[in-house]
Amino acid sequence: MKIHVFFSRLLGLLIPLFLVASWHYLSVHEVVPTTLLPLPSVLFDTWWDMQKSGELLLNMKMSLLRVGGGFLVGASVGFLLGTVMGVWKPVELYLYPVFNFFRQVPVVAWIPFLLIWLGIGEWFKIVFISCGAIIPMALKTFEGIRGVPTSYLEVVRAFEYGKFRMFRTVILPSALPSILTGLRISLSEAWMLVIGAELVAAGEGIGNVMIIARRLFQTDVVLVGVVVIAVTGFIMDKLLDLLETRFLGWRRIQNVQ
Amino acid sequence: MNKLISIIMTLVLGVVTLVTVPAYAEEKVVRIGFPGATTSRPQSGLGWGYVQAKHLFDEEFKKDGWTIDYNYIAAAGPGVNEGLANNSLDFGFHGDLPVLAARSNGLKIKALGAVRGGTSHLLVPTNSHIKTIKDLKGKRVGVSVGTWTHALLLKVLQDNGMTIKDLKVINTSGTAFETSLATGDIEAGFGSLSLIRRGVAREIWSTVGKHVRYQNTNTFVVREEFLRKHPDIVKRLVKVFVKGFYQASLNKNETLKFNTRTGTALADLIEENAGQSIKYLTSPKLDGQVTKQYKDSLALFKENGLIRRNFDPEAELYDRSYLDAALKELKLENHWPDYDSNGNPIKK
Repeated sequence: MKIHVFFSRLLGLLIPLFLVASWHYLSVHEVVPTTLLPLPSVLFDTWWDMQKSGELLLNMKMSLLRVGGGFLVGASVGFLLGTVMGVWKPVELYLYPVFNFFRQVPVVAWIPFLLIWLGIGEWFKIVFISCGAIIPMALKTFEGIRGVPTSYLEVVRAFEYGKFRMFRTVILPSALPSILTGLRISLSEAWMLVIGAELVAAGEGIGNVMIIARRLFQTDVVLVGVVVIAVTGFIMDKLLDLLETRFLGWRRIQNVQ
Repeated sequence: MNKLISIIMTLVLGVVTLVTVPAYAEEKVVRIGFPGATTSRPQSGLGWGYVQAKHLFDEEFKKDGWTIDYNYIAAAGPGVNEGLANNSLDFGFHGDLPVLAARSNGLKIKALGAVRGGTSHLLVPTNSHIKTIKDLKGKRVGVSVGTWTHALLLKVLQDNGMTIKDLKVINTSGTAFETSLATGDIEAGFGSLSLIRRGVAREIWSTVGKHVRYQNTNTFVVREEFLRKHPDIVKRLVKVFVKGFYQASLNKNETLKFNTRTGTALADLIEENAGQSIKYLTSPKLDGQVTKQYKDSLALFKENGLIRRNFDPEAELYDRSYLDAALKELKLENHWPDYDSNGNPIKK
């Protein structure tokens, strides 16, 4: 049984391996010029050089700091917004239509407006990332709270729990799976947007490294950037997955039983 | 298993089609890319301006049905490189940084001739406290990364014992650069005289009247594949190019007046080109001035990590045979002297 699972996992590697092999073939035989598609091995060397020189780490640090700032602000505001809309019906009536309106605007559509307001500095990036991080967090929190079964609420009402105690002991734990999903989507959104923000304007950061490399005709560095972004995003998602298992492990055990 | 094979076959077929189709769709068009970020109107000055205005290309190629397609690339030199790499351009113009970066990274191009005489001004906002290049330490400087002004910044910093690491570089160009300078998002950067004229900026340094090594020396390049397929077309195009430059070289005042069609005021053109002979400005030769500047630039770029592979431009980049043939055919071998690394004519 276990061996079977192991092999079915390996299946997911087949297509990437095939892609890398064809990529290698296309570059080696110059079917596609190496200026457009450098060899996978060249990419590895470039990555190693960037790693050794500390260039990659310095720029990753900048990007991650921005993600951290934007995500922290965005997710907190999103959580509060989702909570107040979920808990108080009148607030929902006032805010939800407005929230829904802003939800329809792709975050990148804010770029020209934000640039006029904030310029190309650090504030622009933090605000831009927060804008994107708020939406999924608020939505998932709101949905999670709305999804608390009415029977639970009836029971705690019968016990005459106060509002805050009700929120802490029933609503929050029950909405937690949805909230954590919101957190994950929010973080992945923040990571995508930091790259977007840096492609527009930045002094440092992984997105900026790619823009500079494009201007200097270093296709390999551009592609290393893509791979590093993918791997970082993957790691971040895995970390939040672990967090989810830690907090919601009980739910999985329950489901298995 | 059969399914897998058919999927692979489809993928392979798709790639083969993608790669081979452009070869069949070939037309009789010569596509030239000009770095267009600095000109406000899509028209060329100097030699190419004459080629356009006097219809020199049509005169040469009309009977064979070849047409010419002028592209003005807002992303400047780096944009021209991309056009050459993805086969949307056959010829292009570059300053030292874009052409050397491209060749260093394996873009297959050959330099056929030179196009000289670009100037630039190191600007700060009018109310800035910055007075000298040394004051730039730690400041946010707008740089159009990958263009010749990026290279120019490296040169002036080197003169002052600094490197680009002493600054905070913000990659910006064109109108974004002008706005950022006005809003204070950047505190300095290379730009045009028009910003000073409009009262937006003040200059702390400029290339005008300085050693020729600071000036923009472009090369006229061709994609090697195009050169291999159509050597005759390249030869005739270089002839057209030399004819245009010859006309531009006859009278400086006339040529500068003619250049106002690019949108720059005559007074500015006169100021920018003061103290430089029209012969020098229009010389298409890849002479000692070009080779020395490019050699020094290569070393500087390598030192600053802008290129990673050094190479010998004589072996890998310059191809003077087409220009020499054109000069001979037009009997202009002695029209332009060779210039040395200081921009002085070498007497024969």
